[in-house]
Amino acid sequence: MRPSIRRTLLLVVIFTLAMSMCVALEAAAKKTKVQVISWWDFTTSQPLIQLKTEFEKLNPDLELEYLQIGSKYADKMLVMIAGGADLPDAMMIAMDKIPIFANKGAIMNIDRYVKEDYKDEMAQVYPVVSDALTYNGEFYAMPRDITSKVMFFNRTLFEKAGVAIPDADWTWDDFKAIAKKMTKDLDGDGHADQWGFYFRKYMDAFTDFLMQNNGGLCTVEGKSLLGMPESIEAVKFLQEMCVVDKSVPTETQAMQFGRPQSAPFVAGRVAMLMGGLSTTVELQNADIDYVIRPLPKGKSRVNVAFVNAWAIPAGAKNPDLSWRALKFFASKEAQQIVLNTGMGLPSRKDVDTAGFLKARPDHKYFIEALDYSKPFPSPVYGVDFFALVEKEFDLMWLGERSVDDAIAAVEKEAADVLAGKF
Amino acid sequence: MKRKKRLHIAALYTILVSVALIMIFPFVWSVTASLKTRSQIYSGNPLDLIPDPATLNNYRKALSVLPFHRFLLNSLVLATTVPVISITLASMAAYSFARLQFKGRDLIFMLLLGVMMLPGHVTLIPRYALVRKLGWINRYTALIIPPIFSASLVFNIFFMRQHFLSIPRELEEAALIDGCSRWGVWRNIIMPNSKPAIATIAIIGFKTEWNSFLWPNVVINDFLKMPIQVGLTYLQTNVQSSWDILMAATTLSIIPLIVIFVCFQRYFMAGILTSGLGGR
Amino acid sequence: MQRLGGSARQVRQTLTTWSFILPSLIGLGIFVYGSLVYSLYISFTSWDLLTPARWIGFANYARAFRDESFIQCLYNTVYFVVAIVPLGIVFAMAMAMVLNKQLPGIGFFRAAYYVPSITSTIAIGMVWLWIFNPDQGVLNAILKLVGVSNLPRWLESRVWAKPALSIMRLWQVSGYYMIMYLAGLQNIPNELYEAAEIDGATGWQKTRYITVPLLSNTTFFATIMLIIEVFNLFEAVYVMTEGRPGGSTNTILYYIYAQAFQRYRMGYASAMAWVLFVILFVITLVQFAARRRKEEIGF
Repeated sequence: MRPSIRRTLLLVVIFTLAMSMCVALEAAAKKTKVQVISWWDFTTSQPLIQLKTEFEKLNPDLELEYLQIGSKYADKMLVMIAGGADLPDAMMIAMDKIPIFANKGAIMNIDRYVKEDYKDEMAQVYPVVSDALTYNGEFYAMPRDITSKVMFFNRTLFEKAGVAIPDADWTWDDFKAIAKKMTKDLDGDGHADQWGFYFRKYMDAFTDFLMQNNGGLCTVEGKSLLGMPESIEAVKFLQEMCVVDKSVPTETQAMQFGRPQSAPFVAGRVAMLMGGLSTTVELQNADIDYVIRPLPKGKSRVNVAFVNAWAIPAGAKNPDLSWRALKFFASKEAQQIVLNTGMGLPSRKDVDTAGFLKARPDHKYFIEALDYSKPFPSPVYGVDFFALVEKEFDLMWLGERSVDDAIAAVEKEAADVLAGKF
Repeated sequence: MKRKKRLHIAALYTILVSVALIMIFPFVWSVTASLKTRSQIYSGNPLDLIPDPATLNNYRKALSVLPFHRFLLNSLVLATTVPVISITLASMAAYSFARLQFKGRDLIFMLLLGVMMLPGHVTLIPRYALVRKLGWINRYTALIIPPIFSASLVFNIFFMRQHFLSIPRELEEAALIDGCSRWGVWRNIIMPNSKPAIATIAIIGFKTEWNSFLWPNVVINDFLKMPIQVGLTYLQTNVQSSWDILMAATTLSIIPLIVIFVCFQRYFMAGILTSGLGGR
Repeated sequence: MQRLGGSARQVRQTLTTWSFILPSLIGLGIFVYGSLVYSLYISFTSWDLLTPARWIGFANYARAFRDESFIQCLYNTVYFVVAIVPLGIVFAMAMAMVLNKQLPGIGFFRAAYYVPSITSTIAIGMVWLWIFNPDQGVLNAILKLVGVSNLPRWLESRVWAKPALSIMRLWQVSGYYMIMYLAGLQNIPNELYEAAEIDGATGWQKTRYITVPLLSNTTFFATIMLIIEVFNLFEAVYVMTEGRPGGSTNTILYYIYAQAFQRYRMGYASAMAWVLFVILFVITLVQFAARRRKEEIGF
């Protein structure tokens, strides 16, 4: 072997050793650690950072440590819990995943803790929250926040186009017309490169429209509502925007600007975006000049609310310790941070909203939205049902399949899928 | 005649250069895009390769959004430990197949060769279930141990055995007469005489592990333990990463292997020529 | 005494022998052969990782052949084999013939052609994702420049997504097989060409009647390896399309992965893995049989 190769190998070995040392040093722990896993980036997420500080102030014996799973969170979590090793003490969980996790025994039943240790505080919590976090009448999670959606407008784009930002009582027709007006071919190559509106083709990004039209996606008990004429009409309305008006970019077009739903809006290529309070943080970080309005009014004013939550993974080493973290996250102090940092709307009525409304007058549409919010439907086999809908709708959004055809294909299998028949 | 020959050579070079351009273009593109500003990437002409203005900002961001240095280090650990252990085990086994007599030797050897015919995906799920039972999920052990015992170990055994058979027996017979043990012979005579062969399979092993994705993606959840390919896919979905940052990260993940390729090109080529049967 | 000593030495010898080989055997026994048996067992059960596995016999296998998505994956895979294997072999062989010439700078070209095949599919897949972008991508910019008016939507279109993935994979794997052919070419004795030249053979005739037939061994192995490689198409799908649009780029391995690790259907996924294994095994056997027959009739 030539000396240069030997030297390279030696370097590699030294590097590897140094690396393992680093890992060993990091493992040397100090206080009792409470590990909390989420899909959020804890290094830059202000809410998570402030929650950690507050938690450690209130619990001097504990140290909060965040872990992150960036994508396919719920899948990875379920597999991780099934794997059993090195489980975190608490986990963030999306509301629609609570039934399936509870059903499979992947998260702990915390009803006992709630009844003993959170009884008095329960009076302060919005009723929609407790509906969302129970499974078979028992608690499985504590609220993280409430996400009610509003519409964001990119003020710069609207001013440039000379289009007026609508009033709070705008309708579906206004929405469709504005989206069309804001779609432009800037470089003149015959293809649009600025669009009026973008929504990710996931269930939670368009269920609002179905319910606003008095239709729906499915019931909590597991019955598909897609076959209702009202639902079909709503899907047709959206598909027309995508395919006929072309005022909504395709997934490929949107992905030019990055994977997140907000990316095309942040890049200044989409004029309207639906989002919750956390979207304001993203927009502020990116220095976007935005205006907030309620969602356009359909046949009825409905807003699909998401109640994201914290739960204890089944098999966590010390449930009592985990509960301390959960109780803290649902406390008045934590929920105040939740609101102040723009993580989401608070789950408790006793949180002070004066500062929030003063910061931006149009923040009031968030608070108002809570009044007409309905929970996102999450049956036990929702994951499988949503996968079915996404699969059958995929070509429909591209205009290669009719709405009736796609919905008929879903309806054919819906009953079986929602009953968990495989 | 001479003119015809010159024309012929010119034609050959035209083909060579144009194919080379296609082959290299994606790399050039990823490097130049990683140096561009976001607005140039989104609004500029895609054919305009020159970054204007050039910026290292994307690299700075790529390194700060996720623990990217850890991804690189994890991959380095993975891509060195797996081949080192695999080659050590393979050389031991290969030595006994090449030189020692024992019952069932040929049968065992045939059984092992069968592993090379086996596509890896058949064992993906049971391996995962096994690792889960052992409590290795999200640990370095899961990242390193199962990949050692795969078709590449068998290929390494096969490869080393062929090589050992080409080493003259006289070399070790003298040592054995002098009272040297079989282990001593293996360590002091056989292995030092096999350096080019070892380098060849070490390089292939490094490449395979550096590029491995499916298995680490399934067993590792924690950012601090992720190898680079898995980390890249997480960066792809991160809220803060747009294409400029992603191209910087992609470039960072490709460069180490290209450097190693340039340094050890000859072993790479040798590796392919001999792995024709290896089914990898 | 002497017998005893002899047997002690024998025992020690046996111990030495096995100590060389046992670590590998145990590891492979558990992680390969053990896994294989375990996999077969899982394929006959319904198992979601969380609740205990339930024996359901052949139901998973029966389901696979009724599952439209799985059939679609099989079709897609056949498409990819037809699109990638013959072209890949031709490219690799042609490139090797050119690179076999002793020209200045040939080393650089060999390296350049080979580099794509050492690069990770995950990383370079992200670059290709951008190249194929219908609006901002380089490929369509070039096509537009040369006057193509109806630009393909590539990964977004049901028609063009498969060709796009095939192009990307062809770009990536050709270099590897080129090196295999290069080695094969160097084994062809020069005298054959010299003799042919004396007989007045043209360049094309030399290629057709000497080079290609004498490379048949390499072609045989390259074809088998390439088919296996295409059947295992996964990472490009993972980063570039996730099987979209409308499942038109879904491959068997990606579908197995999604069923196992996104839908927790371990039994069903294992059954499909076995179906894939059997298909590959049969293809390889058929190829070997065909080759033997070809040799018997003296090609």
